[in-house]
Amino acid sequence: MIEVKNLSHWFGDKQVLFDINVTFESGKTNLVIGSSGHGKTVLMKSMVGLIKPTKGEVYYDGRPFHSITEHERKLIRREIGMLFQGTALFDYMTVGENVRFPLDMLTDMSEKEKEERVAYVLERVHLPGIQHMYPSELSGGMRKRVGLARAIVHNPKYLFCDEPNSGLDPRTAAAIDELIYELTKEFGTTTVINTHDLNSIMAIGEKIVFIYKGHKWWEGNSSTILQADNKELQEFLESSIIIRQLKGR
Amino acid sequence: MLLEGVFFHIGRFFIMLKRCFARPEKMSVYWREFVRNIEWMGIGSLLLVVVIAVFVGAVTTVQSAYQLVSSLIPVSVIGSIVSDSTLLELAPTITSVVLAGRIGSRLASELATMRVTEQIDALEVMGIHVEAFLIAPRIVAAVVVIPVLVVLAAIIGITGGMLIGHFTDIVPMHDFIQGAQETFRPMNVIICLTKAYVFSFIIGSVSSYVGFYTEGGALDVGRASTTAVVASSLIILVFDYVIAEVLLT
Repeated sequence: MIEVKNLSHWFGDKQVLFDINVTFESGKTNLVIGSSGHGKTVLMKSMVGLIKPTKGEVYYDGRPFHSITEHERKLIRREIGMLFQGTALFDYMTVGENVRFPLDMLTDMSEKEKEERVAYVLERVHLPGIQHMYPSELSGGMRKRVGLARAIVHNPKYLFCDEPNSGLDPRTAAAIDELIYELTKEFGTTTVINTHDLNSIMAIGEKIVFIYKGHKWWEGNSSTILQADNKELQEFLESSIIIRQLKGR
Repeated sequence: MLLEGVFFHIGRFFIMLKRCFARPEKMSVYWREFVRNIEWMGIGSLLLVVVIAVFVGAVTTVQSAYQLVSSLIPVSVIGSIVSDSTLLELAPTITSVVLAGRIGSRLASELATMRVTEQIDALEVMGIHVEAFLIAPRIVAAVVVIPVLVVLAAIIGITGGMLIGHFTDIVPMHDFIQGAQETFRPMNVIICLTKAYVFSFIIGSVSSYVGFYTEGGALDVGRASTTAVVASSLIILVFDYVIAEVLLT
């Protein structure tokens, strides 16, 4: 479980996050949604420590993340896996080397165990036997899946996905969503997903937090979101023709 | 304002260096990085260094002969001029400035690309000592490889000058060798090596610094590459003077 408490952030004199309080539950796909530029990425970066928030704290299963020493923070970070929007695969490494990198750095597994684990997670993301390929040889969807394999290879307790299906065709995007959902259930991770993809919201939104102009504007799930009495949220949702049709407008 | 910027960069540069000495998570992975860098820096630059050294030696011989018009001056002086100037200045400085272009620009663009494509963020999220993992192996590889290339350039430069002088009837080989031996001082070799080590550290560290702290997009990667070459070359020239002043006067 991840708890965000009173999190605020300023860039210079511009406040971008306002007292965010939210709890992300274990074994669930927690979605942070909202339009671009409203603070989703800043919130996620604050949660994983890429940005130090001006105010507030993030708790990983009760352990504070920002008000501790760098060494203690590194120990928590080793329980985190993250899929980046642009995948952030290391260009000069093969797929196999990319995926096994967290194992090389963070575990004492034997070579054989690492090879087996890499083969298993690549199979799990439906990309068996591509260890020898380089990221530049892969399609966008394959890169995302390799990024996901690298994020889960060390069995993280917390999985963060930043716009996991941006730039993908609807079918591949749906496959990625399904994969993240399955992995969350299989490994029991606390999964936090930044998205503005309305298909994802309806398909895997077990918990949904709507961020609007840096504020937590609404909280619910995919079965309550269409009925939510919230003007800004409805405007956001109705940017999709499918949602408008679903709502009979 | 300018002075403030200079102090900011100097301060951040030394903080980066300090962080490079963090305890490695896995020595084997750092070693792999070191070897990879040795390979592209050393083998990749070999042909360039050889070609430049041959021509620098040849041109120095021809120009020295052009300036020595008096029949009172023995032609063996050409040997001493070529060997001394190659050891003291041409091999370490010209080779290092050329390598600042080749190695420095690649170091900077590689790290800058990693920064703008979130690869460095991915390492940070994993809880890895980013500066130690990315920068230390590059600096150490530069400090190991570049002095070897400089020594090679000195040997090839002097040999090239001697052969060109011999085959163009400027100075017979035995006169060239006699002249080189007459004025040879072990101090010249020490100065050559001192310059090689200082310059290699400058290329490795300054280029890494520029690349590592790049912000923005693809355009900024190009800018980082250019800045790294210009900054490294200028700092090399400043230290060239400082070393000459300290060791020769």
